[in-house]
Amino acid sequence: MKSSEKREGETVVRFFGPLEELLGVPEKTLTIVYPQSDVSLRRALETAFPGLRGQLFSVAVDRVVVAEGQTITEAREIALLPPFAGG
Amino acid sequence: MDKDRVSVEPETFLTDEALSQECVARVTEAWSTDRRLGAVVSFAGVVRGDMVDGSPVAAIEFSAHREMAEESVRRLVERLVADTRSDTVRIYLRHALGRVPRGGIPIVIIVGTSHRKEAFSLCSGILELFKQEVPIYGKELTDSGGHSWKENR
Repeated sequence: MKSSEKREGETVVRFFGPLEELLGVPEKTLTIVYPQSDVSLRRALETAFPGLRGQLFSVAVDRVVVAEGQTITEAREIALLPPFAGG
Repeated sequence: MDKDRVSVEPETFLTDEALSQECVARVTEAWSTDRRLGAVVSFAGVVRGDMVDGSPVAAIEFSAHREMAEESVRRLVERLVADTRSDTVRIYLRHALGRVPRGGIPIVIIVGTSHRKEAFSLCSGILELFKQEVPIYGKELTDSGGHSWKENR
């Protein structure tokens, strides 16, 4: 796929820790139009799940944390990761 | 990683079972026959009874993105081991999921190397990167029935 070509994709969005509690479910399936920049993806997630606004979390696409300025061309899984607390 | 030089166990570090000091003793004993080892350093984290809204923490309920957590640990161990000069490195790492009571052990890290400096440094390095990079979550449950989400700083 060319990076400029738009395509809809079904993506499983997974919520962890306090975000799972906030949204009341561990995951939801969302239709997302790709490609997305890191900023526009975050905006799309906040539009779909308004409870996310103001929350601190990083975004992982297919188990890799999205870097600043990255373009996401497709995703099977998006994980929303609040600050970690292991150890 | 060079498997003759480095061993990491067990294969998956997340466990739904409770951890205890017995596992530290068991691993240390098992490694005692390895003639290449000159130092074994172990770390066991303990759930503190911090005060949350005026009530002490009774337990922490741990959860994780399991697949990402396992992968994160593999990567951070590889990075740290690459910077370690020891001829041999043995690592045992476990983190409990589910409810760990106050005084209970959520994490055990045991590092064996040829000499003490590498063992201390590697054990400490693994713990610090673990706290920063591994997607694990902890819900602190208090004696009064309240809760709060723990955050590593």
